Amino acid sequence: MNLRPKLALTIIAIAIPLVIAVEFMRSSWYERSKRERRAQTVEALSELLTTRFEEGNEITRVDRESWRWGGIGALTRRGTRGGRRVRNQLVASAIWAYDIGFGSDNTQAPPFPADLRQALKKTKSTAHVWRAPSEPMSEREFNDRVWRGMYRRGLNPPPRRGPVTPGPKPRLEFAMMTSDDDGPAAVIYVTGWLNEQERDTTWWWLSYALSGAFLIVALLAAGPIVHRIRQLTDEVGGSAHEDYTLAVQQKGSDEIARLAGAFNKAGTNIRQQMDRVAASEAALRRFVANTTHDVMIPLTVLQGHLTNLRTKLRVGEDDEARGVLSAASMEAHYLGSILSNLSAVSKLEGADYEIRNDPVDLVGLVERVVQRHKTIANTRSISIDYGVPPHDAHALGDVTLLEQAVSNITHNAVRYNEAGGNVGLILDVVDDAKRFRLRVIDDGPGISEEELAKLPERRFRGDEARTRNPDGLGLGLHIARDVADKHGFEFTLRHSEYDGLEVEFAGPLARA
Amino acid sequence: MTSKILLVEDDPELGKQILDSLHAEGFELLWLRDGNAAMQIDPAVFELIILDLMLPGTYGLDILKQIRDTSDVPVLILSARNETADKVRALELGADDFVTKPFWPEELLARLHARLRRPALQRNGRIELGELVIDTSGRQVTLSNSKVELTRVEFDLLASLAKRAGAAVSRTWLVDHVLDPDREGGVRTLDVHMSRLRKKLGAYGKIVSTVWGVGYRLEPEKVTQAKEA
Repeated sequence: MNLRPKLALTIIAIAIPLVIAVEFMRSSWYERSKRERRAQTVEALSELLTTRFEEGNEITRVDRESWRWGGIGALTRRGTRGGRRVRNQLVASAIWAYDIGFGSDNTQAPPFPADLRQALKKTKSTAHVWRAPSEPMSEREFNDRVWRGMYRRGLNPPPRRGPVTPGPKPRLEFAMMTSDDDGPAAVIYVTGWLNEQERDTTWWWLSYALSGAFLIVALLAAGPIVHRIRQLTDEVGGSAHEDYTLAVQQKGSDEIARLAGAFNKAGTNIRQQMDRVAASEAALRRFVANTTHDVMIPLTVLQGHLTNLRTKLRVGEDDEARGVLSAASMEAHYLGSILSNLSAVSKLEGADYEIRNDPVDLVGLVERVVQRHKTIANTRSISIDYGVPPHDAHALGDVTLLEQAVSNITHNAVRYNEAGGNVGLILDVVDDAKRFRLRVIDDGPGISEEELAKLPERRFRGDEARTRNPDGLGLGLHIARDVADKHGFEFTLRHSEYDGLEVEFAGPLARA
Repeated sequence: MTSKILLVEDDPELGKQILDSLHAEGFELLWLRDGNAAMQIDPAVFELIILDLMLPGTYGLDILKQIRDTSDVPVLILSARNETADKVRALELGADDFVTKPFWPEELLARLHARLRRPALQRNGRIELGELVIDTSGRQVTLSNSKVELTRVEFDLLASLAKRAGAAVSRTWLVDHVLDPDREGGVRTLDVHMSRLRKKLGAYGKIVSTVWGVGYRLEPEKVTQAKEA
């Protein structure tokens, strides 16, 4: 459900008890005023009658003309001592006199109501009954009757126009016992209609108006808010459509503006994630493409060597066969190193690869690297040896990457050397056992000064460094340098004292 | 004494190769191709276990855990995945070494030997190499029962090498730990000391070899050569 209907429902839900409460208060106030009004009327009437019959000499008149005393309009007819109050409050009234037996000398008098008689017998002074509201006779009818009555008496009354409010009115039947106990005016009976429509119409519209007003005000106030939310929704949709490169507007500093701000932050996050994922995917694709390319060639070459080998052995050219075998072994070795290097590259180039911080056993690493390359070194009559301290030496990092880095350097040292050449790996613990120094030394051709100088500037570029390049700086060296950088180790190339190359990794040792 | 080695490897070609190369070295081998079969064995029977991690149907690491439950036998993990996380995990679970494919048969053998290497027997600080006896506690060297006069530095150099017989010791280490720190002495001084030491050992000087680029190594296998001389 949308906001405004929800808001409307909420307001209605609040309004209903409110309306009920206001209604309740209003009607009980109304009831009270109604009772008061009625009580006032009764009181006024009672006062009037008392004045006329007890204190005045109306009883004498009744005695004299009891067969025609009373009637409709007789209570408040001009000339009678009808209190103005009563005249205003009681309309279409009639007054009759009865003797103690509740019979009247005036034949026009209506029969005395039974319940009133009971009530009067109990109180022995005054009693009254209110009858349910009904329509009183119309003004015209009333005027006819009065006029006819007066006409019968030979009088010529002007039409009486009372302030008769339209609608149903309650009827009052009032009886009073006078002192004329055995006369025709022992009981005076008055009936009339209360001149007020007792319809609970006062202020009935109050609670509805209030609720209605609230509703309208709330919906009006909601208008701009809903509008802003809709606008924000559109902008969010638009931004999402553009891969979150669009920011949404942030107007002001209220909750909606903060929501816009939060969305922008989330959008930036998503963009970054998407960029990272895209970079990873791109790296992966490159890796797969490179692997296919880089592995197929050495494999083909290897297959060629093996075929050649078979031929040479078949025709008994054992010496040449040995040479081919050596080349085949190199190729296979090279293949293995390519695959490991490509895996290392994909990690190093990956956007979210974090260098591990495990303790790496440097002694074991040196042993493994030398063992790895010993076969090829032997095949090529190159000596390879290593020296390590008599105790453990651990640095923090990634064992696979570090081993690959050192292996690459060693691989180069062997590859570029000639029969009779030497390669040595030395691990030393220096600086009061706080740092390590791992050196790969050879007596091979080394690297020229120019190339050495170029090394720092030349950033690693996968494609061109991948192909074998006997003269230039290959993939392996760049990976080694990258790995050292990522670990925070120093990486130095220099001329060795044996006229070849010396490559040094140096860094802090892990606390034991 | 032949060492009994367990190989758990599912690839038939690779398994055969390893079997052949280990037999050639004189090892006795049991080759299981199946992870479930490997779970049934009693590790106490073996000197060393070579365990391939990528076995169909079973986790190699589960087999490792089971082995470690009852035994400390050296376990060498073989895996095609060169992932640091795998290595760290395997080492945490008690593996002793990790060999990634592809590997040369010689590599595997070298690792095996490293795991099975017996520590040098040193009784009472006495190291015997043929006619040469080095008494590290008494700080005395005798050759064919006659005392060899060595300076403090020369003795320490010889003792250091002898304690790590077969392993190369770097020049840097020797300079830092053996030479006199008060006296100015670097690698050149070390070389001079070593050459004097060799002279004093006569024919047995051969057992102290120079390791190119690294330093020096005492090679017990050269004792026979020295004897013949």
